[in-house]
Amino acid sequence: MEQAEPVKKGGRWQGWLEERLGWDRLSEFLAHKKVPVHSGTLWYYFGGITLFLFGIQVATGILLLLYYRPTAAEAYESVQFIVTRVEFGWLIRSIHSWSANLMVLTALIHMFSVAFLRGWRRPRELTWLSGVLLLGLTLALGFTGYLLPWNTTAYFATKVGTDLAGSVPLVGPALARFLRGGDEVTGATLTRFFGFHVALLPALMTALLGLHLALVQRFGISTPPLLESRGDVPQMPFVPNFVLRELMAWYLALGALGMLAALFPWPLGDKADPFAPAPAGIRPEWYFLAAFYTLKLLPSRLWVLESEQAGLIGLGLLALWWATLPFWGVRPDGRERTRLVTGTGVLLIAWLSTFSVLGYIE
Amino acid sequence: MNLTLAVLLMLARAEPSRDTCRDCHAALEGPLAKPAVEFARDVHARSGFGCASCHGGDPTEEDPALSMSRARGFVGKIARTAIPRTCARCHSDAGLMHRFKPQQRVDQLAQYLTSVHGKRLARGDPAVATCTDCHGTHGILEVRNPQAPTHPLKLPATCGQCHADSRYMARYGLPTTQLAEYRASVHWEALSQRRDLSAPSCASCHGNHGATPPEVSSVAAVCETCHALLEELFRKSVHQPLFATMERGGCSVCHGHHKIERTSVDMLDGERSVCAQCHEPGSAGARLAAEMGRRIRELRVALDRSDQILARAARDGMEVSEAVLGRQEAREALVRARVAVHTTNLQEVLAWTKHGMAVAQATRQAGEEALRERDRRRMGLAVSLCAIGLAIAGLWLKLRSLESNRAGQ
Amino acid sequence: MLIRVSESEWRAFGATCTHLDCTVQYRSESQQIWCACHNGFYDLNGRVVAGPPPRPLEEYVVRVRGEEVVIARRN
Repeated sequence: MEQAEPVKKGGRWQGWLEERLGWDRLSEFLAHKKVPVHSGTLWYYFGGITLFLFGIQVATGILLLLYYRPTAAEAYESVQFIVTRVEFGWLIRSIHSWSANLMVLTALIHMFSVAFLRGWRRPRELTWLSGVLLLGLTLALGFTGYLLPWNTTAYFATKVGTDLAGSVPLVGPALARFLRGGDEVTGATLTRFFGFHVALLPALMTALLGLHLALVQRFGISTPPLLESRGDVPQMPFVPNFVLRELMAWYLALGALGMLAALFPWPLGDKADPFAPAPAGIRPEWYFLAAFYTLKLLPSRLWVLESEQAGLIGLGLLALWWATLPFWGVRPDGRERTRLVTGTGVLLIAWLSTFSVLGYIE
Repeated sequence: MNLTLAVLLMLARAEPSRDTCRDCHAALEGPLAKPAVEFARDVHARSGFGCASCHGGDPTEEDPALSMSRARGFVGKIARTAIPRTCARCHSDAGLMHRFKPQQRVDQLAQYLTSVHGKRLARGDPAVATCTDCHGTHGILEVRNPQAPTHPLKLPATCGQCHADSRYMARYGLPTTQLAEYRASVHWEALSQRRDLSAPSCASCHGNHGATPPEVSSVAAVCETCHALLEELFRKSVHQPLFATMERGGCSVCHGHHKIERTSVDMLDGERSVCAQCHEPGSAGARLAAEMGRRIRELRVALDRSDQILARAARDGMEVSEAVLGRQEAREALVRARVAVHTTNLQEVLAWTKHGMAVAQATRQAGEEALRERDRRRMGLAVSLCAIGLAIAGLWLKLRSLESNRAGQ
Repeated sequence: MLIRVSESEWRAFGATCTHLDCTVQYRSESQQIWCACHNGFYDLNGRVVAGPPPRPLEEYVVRVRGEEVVIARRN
């Protein structure tokens, strides 16, 4: 007996894949997914932009991997080779460096917009937590990647950074030795950071990102509580309206990246010389400046603790406080602690921006 | 007498701690206390010598009648004409010096006696320099000690104590402009500002103990001790035999003795020309100098231009480190060209200027290529931005049509 | 400058004199490195033997790989 072949939309190939991959369920789901439309919708794009920039990082990173050599003797020269001799190497390298910075910025914007728009409320607590962890991973990727060109600023920034890690109470010295692969920043540190930067951290990042995105898909985009209480909020379909808008945002980000990479190419610097004294005015990248400057300001002893220890404990507590926002942001009865949440967010932004500026002009 | 002195010397060394001379004089006031106070930092004190080593007497006796008795060798204040002999008792004794400083020379007195100072002193003139005038009397420090009056940084002032004093030098009919001239020189600048202790001070050219102005014929040899290459080049020139027959002092004819200033290509031609001292304008010599000057200036201009372009390219983010290395080679060619003027041979100068021009041109071209590449990148950026703009516009139009359709529905 | 000291041993130094940055040169008759500017001399280990240079020449690491000689800065 002949079985009539069901006619699938879009041709035979699509039908072939659909039978095996089960796309129809996905497209069904996407067709019904909606995004709230209101004055704060603009902020909804920043998560996607961060994801886009991560994709750029992976792509440019893989291209750089083709030429980069992770040893102290060859790292700087290999980056120099990429920038001078490889066709468009200068572009890929500059995009990679600029995109790293932009990614941190958009991640922060995304995080603060979610905080203020209350996207962390039940049942989205895990989404928030995974997001905070993702930010931490992004900063770690930035820190490990910064050392890889093995130039003077990179070398001394890493020295200062790992010294600070060594000040963590109890586990500090062991942590510092683990990070450095020894007691000093050497070629061993470089190779180790390379492993972290291209393998370990991207793997963790991908896994967490998968969780984060899956949770976002499961619960949908949240509507701010104020609007929710007012009743029906207009919605736009995820596909194609939100997606097209997101694509426009991605193109804008790409254009911005291109401009930065072409007009302000990332400098090569001088090859690191461990025996030379640290250059005057050495400071970390902008996203670490606030913490760095705060630690510098602390008096040398706080009760029984050294200033770095006290500072790190303080910063750690602050991070913990911020990470547990979904839990203290609502009262046991379910009502939101509006002023506390908004106040914390505003203070945090104020601290970050003021101290970053202060750390920069010092 | 000498035997007594020797015995006393040995005694003095055997008991360095017991020195009644110092103990008493330190307790006195005024000028009598000064020697005892100064001697504390003297280099001889460290080696176990005391007052009696030079002045005689008995440093173990408290009674001044005994410690300062002639019978025990006391000579009191040493006469100026006797000072060199006194110092030489130890400093010309190789066996003795060997026990304290094996490397130290022991011919200072012999050298001194050949100097103008030594000769005049031997004829009884006490007004010339003796050992203590330069080295100090009681607080004598090693030459390498920055506080010693014989340290290279202080030596010109020490010589100048007499040689820059016009009243003092009047009786000898000597000029006193040397110190001021030397202070205006590039050698003093190297010493005083860059702390380059290899730069010459008075003793480097005149000698220290056998201080004599170099003979006219040996000026070039003196300069040669540091400026070896220049001397080699100068020997190839027409000036060298000429200056010798004219009894003019080699290098100093053009560069001066003490006021040796920073050289520049202006010394060849133009207002500050030294060639014009002898060569009339329009003469073969003047024309040769002018040609050399022209070529060297041309090379310098080419270097500057190439530097400017490379700096622009580097500032705009282009990678030009290789070309910058080439610049080093061009700079060296410029130095060699300038130095080659000493040969008075145009071909030697040309060889270097031609090489330098070629390198400068290559680096300039590298810089210009970098700037062109920069422009290409900017053009690429502009094109990409247009493409992105078009894509964004396309998306926006599609959105608009979608949404108006939906609204229409 | 790259110097072949023996059949298998190579040495490399920066050719910039440590006195006033002139370029040095090799003198085969005395087997020394000489700076023409102010008569400074270095031995084949880059150490100062005479004249005004205050420091030895900067030394580079030399590795011979078959037909190639690779020079790198010290770390």
